[in-house]
Amino acid sequence: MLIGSNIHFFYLDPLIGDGLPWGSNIAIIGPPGVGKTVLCENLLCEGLKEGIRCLYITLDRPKNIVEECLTQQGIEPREYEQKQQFKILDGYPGMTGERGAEIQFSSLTDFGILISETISQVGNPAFIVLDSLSVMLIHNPESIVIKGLQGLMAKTKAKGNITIYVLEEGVHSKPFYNTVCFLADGVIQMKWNDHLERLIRAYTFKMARHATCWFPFSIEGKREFTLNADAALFKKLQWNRLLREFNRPQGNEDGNVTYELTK
Amino acid sequence: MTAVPVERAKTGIIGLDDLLGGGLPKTRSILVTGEAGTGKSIFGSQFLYSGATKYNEPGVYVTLEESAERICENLRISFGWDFAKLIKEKKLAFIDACPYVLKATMEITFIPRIGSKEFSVHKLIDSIGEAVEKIKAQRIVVDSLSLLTFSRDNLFDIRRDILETVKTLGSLGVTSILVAESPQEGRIGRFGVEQFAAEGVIMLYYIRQGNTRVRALEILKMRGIAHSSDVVPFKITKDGIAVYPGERVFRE
Repeated sequence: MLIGSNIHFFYLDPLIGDGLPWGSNIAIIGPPGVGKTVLCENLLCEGLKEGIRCLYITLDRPKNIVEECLTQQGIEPREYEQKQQFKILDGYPGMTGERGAEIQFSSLTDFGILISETISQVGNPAFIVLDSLSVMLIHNPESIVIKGLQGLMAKTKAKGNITIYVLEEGVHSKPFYNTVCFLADGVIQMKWNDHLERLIRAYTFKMARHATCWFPFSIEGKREFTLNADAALFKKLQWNRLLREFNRPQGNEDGNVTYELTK
Repeated sequence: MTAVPVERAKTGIIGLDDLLGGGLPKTRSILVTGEAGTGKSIFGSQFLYSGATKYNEPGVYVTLEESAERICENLRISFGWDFAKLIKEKKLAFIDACPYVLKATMEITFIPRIGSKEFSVHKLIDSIGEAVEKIKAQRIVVDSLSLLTFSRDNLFDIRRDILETVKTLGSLGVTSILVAESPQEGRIGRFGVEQFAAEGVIMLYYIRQGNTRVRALEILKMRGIAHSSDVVPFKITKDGIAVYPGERVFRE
């Protein structure tokens, strides 16, 4: 894996046609429950299967739940951990003292040290997911988190990592979101429309061609992120390479033509 | 004219030697100051331990607060540093002037208790000189400078005692760490004169952040060498102090 080259994720290719560049920081912003974590899990599974080193920093779920969710998606996280290709950094606060989190939230200094140490244990370049940044803001003021984030982004970028920062929408101040968007190389937005359909788009991306239009997606049975791409959209994008990967169109009940992504 | 590079004594503390551009300046007296619990004594102990085990520089530990026996026990429990073995191997010597006596199982030089009529800075300096001679020591830790001058009732005497200690240690050709307690964060030493006598000052902090504390250090002054001026975080790990020059301290 060369720094400067890109990595193509099946689930993100329609949005970011050039793939994710190594050495980039990406924010995934969306309201709670829209599917940010599920998308990250899907990307992680794909990355692990491709042999990429991965690090998952969990701040709002305990490690065993993360492992369970990944198992549902057909991978055995512990096997990858044993191979030292994967590490889960557990930052979920322990329950009644039974298990302690590895991360002390109220100290961004310690958090920074721990992340740096863990990243160097996993090795560079790696695919890193921090889920979710919003938890840090429960314990620290936005101004401090921004400082810490800027340092972390600079560090992971310099090491050639791809780092995804999950951020809850609607709970922080407008300037905070704007600063994150300005610091990050790419921003992926997710939302619900009025019919409670899920939508995703690449809002901005500094180093890769991307589609800023909204794509409908759904979350299927076993936490599977599925892009429900519209034919017209893909014609507009004219990414022939991508189109070849889609099945023949089939009309649905409404008479609309949809394409299904295949693996 | 080109500057003459100063010879360095490596502290063996991960990250700190990088901040110092190689280590502490040899044969100089460095003040290490901080509040209670910041890690001053561990700093000094690690300096001696690294010197004796890694850099072939024997050292003398002058203790005025804690008995030598107890110091050795604590260091063995916390970090696995076997000071008793180093004493046997003549890589380390202890001078104990702490105000209470414990039965010694090791070879320790006892001198008149601090606070007793017999104690004087001169006697202490004399016994340091003998110990340095005996094991060919190149490093010294005085723990703590604050207690050394506590019985003095005016600043002039305090400053003179400190200056005398610093200059004598300098003339012995050893690199010394003088531990000085600080009654409040940001204050250097207890008397406010310590920093002027020392040739270098390293300040240790234990900063309250939310419901926890973070350790940090700063090189305030270090004559003769170019050094970092950042306040950087450090941790006390099972291997001693580890400084993180690449990390930042976040503070509200």
